[in-house]
Amino acid sequence: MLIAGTISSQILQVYEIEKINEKKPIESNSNIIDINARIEVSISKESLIKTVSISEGINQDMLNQLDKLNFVLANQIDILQSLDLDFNSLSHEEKIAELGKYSALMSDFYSRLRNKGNEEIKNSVEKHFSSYITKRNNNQIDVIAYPSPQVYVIKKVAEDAGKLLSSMGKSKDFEKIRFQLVASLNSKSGYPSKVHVENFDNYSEGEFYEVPRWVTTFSDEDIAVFEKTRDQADKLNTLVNYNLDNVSEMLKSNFSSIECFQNLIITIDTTIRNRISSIDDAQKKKEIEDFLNVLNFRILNAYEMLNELQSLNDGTNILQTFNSYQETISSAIKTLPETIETILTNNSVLITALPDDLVQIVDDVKTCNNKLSEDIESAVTIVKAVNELLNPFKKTADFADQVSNKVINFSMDNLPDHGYINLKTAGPRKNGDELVIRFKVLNEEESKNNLPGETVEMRIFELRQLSVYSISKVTLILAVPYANSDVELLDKNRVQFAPSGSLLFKFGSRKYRTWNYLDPGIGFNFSTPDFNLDGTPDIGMGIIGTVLKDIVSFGWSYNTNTDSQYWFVGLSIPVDLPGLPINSVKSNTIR
Amino acid sequence: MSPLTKTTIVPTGNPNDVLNRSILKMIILHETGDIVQIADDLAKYPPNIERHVIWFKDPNENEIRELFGDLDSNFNEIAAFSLSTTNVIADYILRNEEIGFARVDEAFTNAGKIEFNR
Repeated sequence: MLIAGTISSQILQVYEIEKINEKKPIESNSNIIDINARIEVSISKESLIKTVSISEGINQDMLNQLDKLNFVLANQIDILQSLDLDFNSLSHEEKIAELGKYSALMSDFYSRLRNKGNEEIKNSVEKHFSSYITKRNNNQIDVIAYPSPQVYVIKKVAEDAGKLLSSMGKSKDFEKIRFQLVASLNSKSGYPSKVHVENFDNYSEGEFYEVPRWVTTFSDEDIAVFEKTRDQADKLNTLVNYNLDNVSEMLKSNFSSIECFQNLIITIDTTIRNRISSIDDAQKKKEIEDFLNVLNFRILNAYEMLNELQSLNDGTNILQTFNSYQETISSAIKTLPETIETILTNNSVLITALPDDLVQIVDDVKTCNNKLSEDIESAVTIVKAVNELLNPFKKTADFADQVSNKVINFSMDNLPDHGYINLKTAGPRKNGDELVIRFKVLNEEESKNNLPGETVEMRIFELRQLSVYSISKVTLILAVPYANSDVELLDKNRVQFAPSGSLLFKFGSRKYRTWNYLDPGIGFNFSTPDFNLDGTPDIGMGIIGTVLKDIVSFGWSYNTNTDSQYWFVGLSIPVDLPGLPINSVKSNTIR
Repeated sequence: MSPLTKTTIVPTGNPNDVLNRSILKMIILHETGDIVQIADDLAKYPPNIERHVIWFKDPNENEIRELFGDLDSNFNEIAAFSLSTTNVIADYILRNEEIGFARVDEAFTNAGKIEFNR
């Protein structure tokens, strides 16, 4: 049963599933989610019905009545909680205090009920009171669920609102509406990628990738893998860009039948005007003319459709172009070769008796028809290839959703209550990436024409490693030996650059954005300066502190070779420089 | 009609027995519609603190004024009024009002609300 009055304004409630049967709601004032979380997305059908009714302008009368009910029931939860107290266990003073609180709430309820236009609700309140008293007098009521007439009345009015909501959801207008739940991952390093939402789409799950909580070692191999993978991603991205930008041209240039039909139309037209008149046999003349006219009509039709495709504006979204091709090919053109074939078969007797120059026209028709069949096959192949290409990368999420046709359209009746997302199977992620969850509504036309529909609610969550975790970091430091250090270096320079690696402990906060922005870290540092200038790296060990996502670091270290202490600072501009093993964080590597 | 189980009828009963108790009360001066029955029903199943009804079957204005102090409304227009646990008049139900469960319960509620405002 839908209970109105508890309707929250949000359609989507998002929870992090911590253990089996244990879930934590993501507070509305915090949109930070654990980077490795399992997420449950619950759909409030009550809010959905209301939101959609408003946005689509349907169920207006019921919506007005529902608003009135919700207005009257505004503090129902507080009233019911107040009535849920074990009154007998309280002292007299406590009883009086609680009576005051309850009465203030209930008085508020009655004052709302008195509002003009609430006569219908007032009547049902009377009926519920009367019904309770009658049942209670006859011992026909569950006194645990309904210990007093006030509890009964409030709950029954809420049920009335619930029934009204149900009726709205089952209304004829509502039946035509479809719903989608889609999720995508906005990564700073690449295209937004779609994320599988269990129960709501047929996407396959992405690459399994758990952002490690504890990093205790770092190696060149990790950095090499990172670089290699990034190169691969760049190449793939280039390929995707190239193909998407040129797919329109690919489709157009592959339709060679257009020119063939264009020439044929001119030939047939000329023949009808000039050649037919020279045939003496009137009946034969009529038969040939009819035959050519039928052919001409069909071919003209095909030409117009093909021409329309070819003249699609270059500025049109590639996926819209793509959809147009799919629709036209599958609906009209696909059947044309067969139709022409039928016309030729039906007129086979006539064709056999045709003069040689007219037989040539028939041969040209056959040639163009074959070309058209090849074009259709070719276009289908391109469409399929683009489909596959779009699968892992989504340049325009909405259209790609439609083209790949894997997001399921649900009606109100079969709309699941929950969807589940496992971020571990959403591919590589970094701190600060965004998970976007959209709830979309499609009206009858949008649903029928495979159009994207309207996003009625969008939730954006920032992904973060939460609580304590560790990372490895490779940085270039500026080492400054203590003034009293007896090292060769002091004779020449006061400072020396040195590569260093750190194991850093960090803390990700769900609440404090500023803390996450500063992103401080503390840990152990290993560096390899060459203080004694013997050409062999010394080994330095010390402690390091970092802030601002490790851009700024500082610390103290001890050179085990020269037996001297030094302090150091590091400034890492967060730019990836190929070949230089700096600014590499191990927890971002792909496994 | 069910029997009045939470109603003291005056003159048979003694109103002070009820007025001396720290509970919510409904004083009925002029029976209008089903107000007595409704008040009794609502008193029979109170949501929290006990409720009781005192029905003055043949009320004398002076006696009533002596008992409850000055009344805000015209005596003959009053169907009933509610009293807080400390016998403060909280809400008058007038004879020309639409009297039903909601209105009578509201009057009891307003009597309880006095404790909130205190």
